Amino acid sequence: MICAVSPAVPAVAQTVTFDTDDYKAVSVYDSWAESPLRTGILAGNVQVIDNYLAGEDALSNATPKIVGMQRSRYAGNLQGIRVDLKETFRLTKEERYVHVLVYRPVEDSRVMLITLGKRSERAGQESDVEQTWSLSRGKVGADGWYDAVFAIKGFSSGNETEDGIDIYSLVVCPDVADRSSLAEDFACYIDQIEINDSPKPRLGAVGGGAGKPQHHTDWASVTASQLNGDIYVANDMGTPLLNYKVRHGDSLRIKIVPAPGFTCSGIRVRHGNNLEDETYYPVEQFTNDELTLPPILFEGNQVEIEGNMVPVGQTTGNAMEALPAGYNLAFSDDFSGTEIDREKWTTSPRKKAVWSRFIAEDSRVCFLRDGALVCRAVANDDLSADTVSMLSGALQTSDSYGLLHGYVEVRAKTTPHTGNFPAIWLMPMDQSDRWPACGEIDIWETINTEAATYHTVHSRWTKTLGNTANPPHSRKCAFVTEGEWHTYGLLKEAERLTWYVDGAEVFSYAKSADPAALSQGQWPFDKVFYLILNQSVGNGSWADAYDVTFTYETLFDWVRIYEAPDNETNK
Amino acid sequence: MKTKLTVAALLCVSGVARGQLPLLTQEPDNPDNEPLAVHPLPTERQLLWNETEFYAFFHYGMNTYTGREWGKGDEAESAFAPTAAPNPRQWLEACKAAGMKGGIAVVKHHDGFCLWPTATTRHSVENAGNACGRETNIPRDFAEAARDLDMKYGFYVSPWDRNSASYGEDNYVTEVFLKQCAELAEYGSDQFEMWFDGANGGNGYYGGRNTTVSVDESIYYDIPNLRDSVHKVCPDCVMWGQGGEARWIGNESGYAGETNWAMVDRGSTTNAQLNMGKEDGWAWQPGESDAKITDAGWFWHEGENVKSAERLFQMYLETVGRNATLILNCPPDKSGLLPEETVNALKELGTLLTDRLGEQRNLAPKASIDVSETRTAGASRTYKAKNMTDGQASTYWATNDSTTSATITLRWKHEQTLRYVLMQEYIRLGQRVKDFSIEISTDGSHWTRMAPDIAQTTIGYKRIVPLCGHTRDSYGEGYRAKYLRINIRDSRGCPLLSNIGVY
Repeated sequence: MICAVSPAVPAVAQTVTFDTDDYKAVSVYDSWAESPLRTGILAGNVQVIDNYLAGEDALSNATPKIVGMQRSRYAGNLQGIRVDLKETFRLTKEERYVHVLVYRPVEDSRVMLITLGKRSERAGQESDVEQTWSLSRGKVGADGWYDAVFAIKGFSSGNETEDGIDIYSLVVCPDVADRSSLAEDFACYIDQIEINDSPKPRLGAVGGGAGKPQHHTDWASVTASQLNGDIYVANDMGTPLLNYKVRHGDSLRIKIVPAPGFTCSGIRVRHGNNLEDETYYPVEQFTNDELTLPPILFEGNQVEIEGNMVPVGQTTGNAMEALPAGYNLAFSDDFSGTEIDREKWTTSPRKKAVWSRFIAEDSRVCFLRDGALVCRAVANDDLSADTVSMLSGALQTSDSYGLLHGYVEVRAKTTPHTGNFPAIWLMPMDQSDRWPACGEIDIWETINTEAATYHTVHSRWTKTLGNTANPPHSRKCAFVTEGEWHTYGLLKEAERLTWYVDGAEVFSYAKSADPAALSQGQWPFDKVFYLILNQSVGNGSWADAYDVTFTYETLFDWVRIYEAPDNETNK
Repeated sequence: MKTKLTVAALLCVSGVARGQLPLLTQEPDNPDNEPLAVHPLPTERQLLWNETEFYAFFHYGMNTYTGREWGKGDEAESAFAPTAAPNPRQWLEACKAAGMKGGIAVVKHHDGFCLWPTATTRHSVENAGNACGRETNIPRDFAEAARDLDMKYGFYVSPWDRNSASYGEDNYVTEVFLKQCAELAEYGSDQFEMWFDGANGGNGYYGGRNTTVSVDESIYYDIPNLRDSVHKVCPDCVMWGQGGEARWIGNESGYAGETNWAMVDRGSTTNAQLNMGKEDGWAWQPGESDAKITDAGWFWHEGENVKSAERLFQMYLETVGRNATLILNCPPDKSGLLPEETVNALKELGTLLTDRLGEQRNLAPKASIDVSETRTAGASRTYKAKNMTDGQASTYWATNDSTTSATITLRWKHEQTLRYVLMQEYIRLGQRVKDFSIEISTDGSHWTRMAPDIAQTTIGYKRIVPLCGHTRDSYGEGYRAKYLRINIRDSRGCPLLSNIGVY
């Protein structure tokens, strides 16, 4: 009897004990096609024999029969015992587990399971095509019975009435190693195969795959993937991050350089023992494409960094070409007159928020010139009339137009300078839930002299509850040169927001499928929103504090709002 | 289970403890005294693939006309309207002048537009915007041109399909992807490689769904059975990337690790393993380095620039010279031709390769070679030093079994100017060398260690060491020497070298 350690008995799909007639055949196997075991030069040696390895303690195996294999130096590294099953079983897309008791005299090598089978609908296919290769989840030691656990899955409907992958045989390779310098062959044994849904080993195998690093070093070896862009050590672009050594306790400053046509939305860092931990850094935490990774990431012996590079596409200047049919222009202004059209625009009210604290109804900060709307922030030179130190311009469509579903596009050019803080954004007509719960959609922001744009949402979910990464609530695009004309667009759909810069998609934020997230305000965006254009200045909290000597200026060439066919209402 | 034994094999029970599996003495004959293989080993098709060494990539398709790198999949078929019939022959001729031995043509990229009349979707050349487009069949024309030019060929077909309405579901794989691969296999049983891009999932048009789809790429494409069916039609076709028979080198900048094993832990490969392999990796999966001859993207873009021949030569040293193959991308433009700058750059690269590493420049055959040990010959095979300069890949020098270090000394009658040392292991029996060094001398007593900044560890299918110690602007003045000594300091099993070249 096997003494099981875990109290609950997992559901078992199939077992092979070798004690009775519960298997079709056992034989010699070698994955190496030219192996002398396959070409017939050597017979190999696999037999079911009486169990002489029964012990008396809880880790023993007292069943009557076991299977032995002679490990040969003439065989490949995947020499194994092939067990042909009495009944085939179907591979499933979800992981299942094969448990095999293994007894071997070595512990410096790994153990692998290979499944052999075929696709059920391919009549002409042999039934011994290798389908999966799994290393055991835990370490298998020497001179004792260990329960090797193997995870298997395949692209296959588990349903027997549909097509899928049927497994006819299991191959256990008890010593995955090159043994060409072996002096003498040795014997390995297996027994008691179970296929079930439990990843827990049945007997004293060391736990599921994790564990202390094999070699302790006092540095971590860092490697970055270089797909669609490069990740370097900042200030040292000549050295690729390839087994780059970082001492335990040190940090590492990296720089990302997306390939032309790509932008980086963030990096994934795998770290810790056996790379079990993963930390994501969205690109908004980067400064000029650089980020200092903290020492806690480098406490293991290995770190892997992967940049999430996303294509930007080419500049077309007009994303309208990409919109499906049925979108109609509903609101627009090309600012070509001499006076701002007050039927369309009202001055945003001054409030205490950073963006609105200096707003003034004043033609010095909001006027038309050469076919564009000019919004400025300037020093207030008459403090007797108004006590604020700067005056800024801001217009909105709250009294004239709101959009439920459709596409907003604005062409704009700003002037980079410390303290610069312009924006194109949307706020809901109905703000009874109060901010941030009512929702806010920032189509375009930029700050200071950064050659970058920000595209962001705010909601109760992101701001109050701090869920900024699931899903990512903001993207910084570090490829736009400010001080030039660009178009900024937002596609507003019932369940998704998509941002465009110069006609190319740069970011997307979708309604969550999780009812728990929705009940906590993840998606307040499916209602009517109005547009705001403004030139504000910072206070040091995000944008730098303003330069009172500077004339901040952002130009808006035109605004176009298209309604989707399912846009039900304005205002 | 086979039970046939050769006459010479002995079968007896060696004395072991009662109850244990009785061990049989089983030894195969070895009349040629061949060394035992060190595992894992390449398959026959992987060996042939390695010999291709340097070949071309051609990204041409819908994106050439939309200017995108990753088309969303919603492009109208009519947007594909080449102004002349695309000319794969011109592409391959230009690449042959660079010394390339083959090419891979993109026939379906992530945008899903197929460059052959496929039965699986209407998003193909059949519905292109003009007659030239509708008559286009890249796989057919590419295969024909390659055969005429005696070059190897293969196709890139993107598993991820942003156009397909069924991507993400089961029937995408069975009704679209596997069928596309089967159709492409029909264009020639002599294909040498099929390229399966690792980019998978994400957002796309998806037949109007306009959503984000993610898949479990470790199982979604049913690779084991895809490989099985492709190999039945194209036995020598190495399935790259997702296909599992060759790996991505881990970057798109054209370099492999100076240490580069052809082995990895397939299925759990880390980023470091991509670039450098793993000494005790269980699977043979050699690296291929994909890089671009232009600076803008994989597809052709207005205003792009072409890299200099010297930069491309550096890339060659860092890939082909580091046990990896190099697939160099040359994008055709809207007229379906390689632009003139690209053709010129390729010609210049070909000249550099011939001038610096061509067989007529090889000084090794002119040297006399001494080795510290030679393996005892067999009935019809010898392992002497001359095997390394006889121009035959099937002969090799080896030591006896228990020797893992050795010295190879080349001596010339007169002083030579040396720049590059090239070595090739007989990888048919596994990749072995772990550590080596190179020294030169003018008098045979005073030795100078060369290129100390370069990790001299692995050799593999091919390793080229620039004696100056760097790959950039490596040609330089060269070094005067009468002797060149290669010290193999450590090896997994006895070292085997099939080729040495000195330039």
